[in-house]
Amino acid sequence: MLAWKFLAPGAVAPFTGVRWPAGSWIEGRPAPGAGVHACALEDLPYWIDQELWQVELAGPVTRAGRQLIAARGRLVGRVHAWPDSSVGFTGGCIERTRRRVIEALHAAGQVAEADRLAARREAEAEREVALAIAAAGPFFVGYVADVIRRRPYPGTCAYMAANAAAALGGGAGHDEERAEQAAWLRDGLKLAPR
Amino acid sequence: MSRALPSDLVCMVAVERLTDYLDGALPIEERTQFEEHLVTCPGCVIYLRQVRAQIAASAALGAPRPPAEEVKQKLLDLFRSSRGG
Amino acid sequence: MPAGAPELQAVVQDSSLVEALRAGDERAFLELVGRLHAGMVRFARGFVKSEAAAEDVVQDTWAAVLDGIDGFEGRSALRSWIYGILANLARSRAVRDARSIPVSALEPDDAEPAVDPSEFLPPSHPRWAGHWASYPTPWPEDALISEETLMVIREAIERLPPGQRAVMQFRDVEGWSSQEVCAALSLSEVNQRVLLHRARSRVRREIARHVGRRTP
Repeated sequence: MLAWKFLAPGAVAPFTGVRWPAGSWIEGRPAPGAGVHACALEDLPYWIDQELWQVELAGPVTRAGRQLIAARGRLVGRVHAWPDSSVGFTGGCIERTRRRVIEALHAAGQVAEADRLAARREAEAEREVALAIAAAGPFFVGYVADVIRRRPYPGTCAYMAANAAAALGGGAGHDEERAEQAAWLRDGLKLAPR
Repeated sequence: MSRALPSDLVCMVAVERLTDYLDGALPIEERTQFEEHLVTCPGCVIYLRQVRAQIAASAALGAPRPPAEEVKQKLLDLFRSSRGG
Repeated sequence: MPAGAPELQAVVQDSSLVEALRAGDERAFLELVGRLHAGMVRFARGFVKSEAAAEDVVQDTWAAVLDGIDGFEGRSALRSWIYGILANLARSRAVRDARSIPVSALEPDDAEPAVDPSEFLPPSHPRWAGHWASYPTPWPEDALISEETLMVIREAIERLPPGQRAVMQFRDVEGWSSQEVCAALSLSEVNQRVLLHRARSRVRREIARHVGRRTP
């Protein structure tokens, strides 16, 4: 079956340091939980790294946590639009976090703060306003500052956006944000499932 | 635990699990959780790199060093007499 | 001594070396000495109060090894056998010199965090309690290769409490496996790892302080 995998530069597995060879199969170790790890679309936001590859998995494929585990795997092709398009990805995380926070401020009757935040769209200024509002009361506004600050680290930015969504909308909010992140990757990078 | 996501691993706990992680001694779920955390946390990635560099440097300290010439000679004399020479 | 895979390999290689020693092969003896002597001195140094005392203990060990080599049955690896003799002699010497390692020193003391809690955001932080207050500063690529930094590491290891020092010495400096260290020090895997964790954390702090001083 086809799946996806984020790797460190040079098609290197980020945790084992093993380089995935071009085209040929690699075998996973036959131990519980060991094996070739890859992602279904919905898992991708949790494993963000510099390179994105399509992979083919063989042998029995199981799910464990947020990963697919297979006996064997091989690289099929690289998604060249990544990481250049990560700016668009993190932009989405920031936009959604901003929207959630502004909605939450409105819901709490804090219209003035909501407007103050909405008025500042340039990164540094927006961060400062967000932190100022958060210091005065609604802590969750700080998440806007967080996602803007960590924009250079897409995995971190995505995680913080998910945290913000959880703070405002519980488990459902969290899952919704992660689903939107996965959808951005699917549509923005044209990862049509086959 | 992050206030928003109580089941999450936070950095303060992650660094305590680092030795177990490097030894492959974490159970599978915790290893996955640790790796997921690294994806979200440049700070812990830096910390992990530092520990790995430290281990490599420690190994450099362990490079075999020949004993001083006089020690070598003493030991050789010992060897010869023990072998009845 | 439990025979795990690394032990079995060593035993197989050992038999030709043991034969050579019994036959009076000086080159074989000097090769063995070259390989083990420095590590043995480092190990003994953890028990006794001076470098000279450590050298003495190691020389006594070689004498005992040569006395016993004809009777060595090869049930354990040669290195483990030699280190067993060394450990006994080092402990006796330490007791004689009135600086003994209490058994409790090899047991982990009550739980203490290995990293200073002030490096993380406090429990009161509304969004990121327990996360890095600020990311650690990356060390320059070549920072750890310098003689200066190696000396900092060596001194930091020497200042460790005895149990932590012994485990770090064996694991990270000498490169022994977890199994071998547990057998040599009569520690459980878990206890061994706790000691290693604390040792590495303390040494890391020393390195960070030193590297911090160097960078402008």
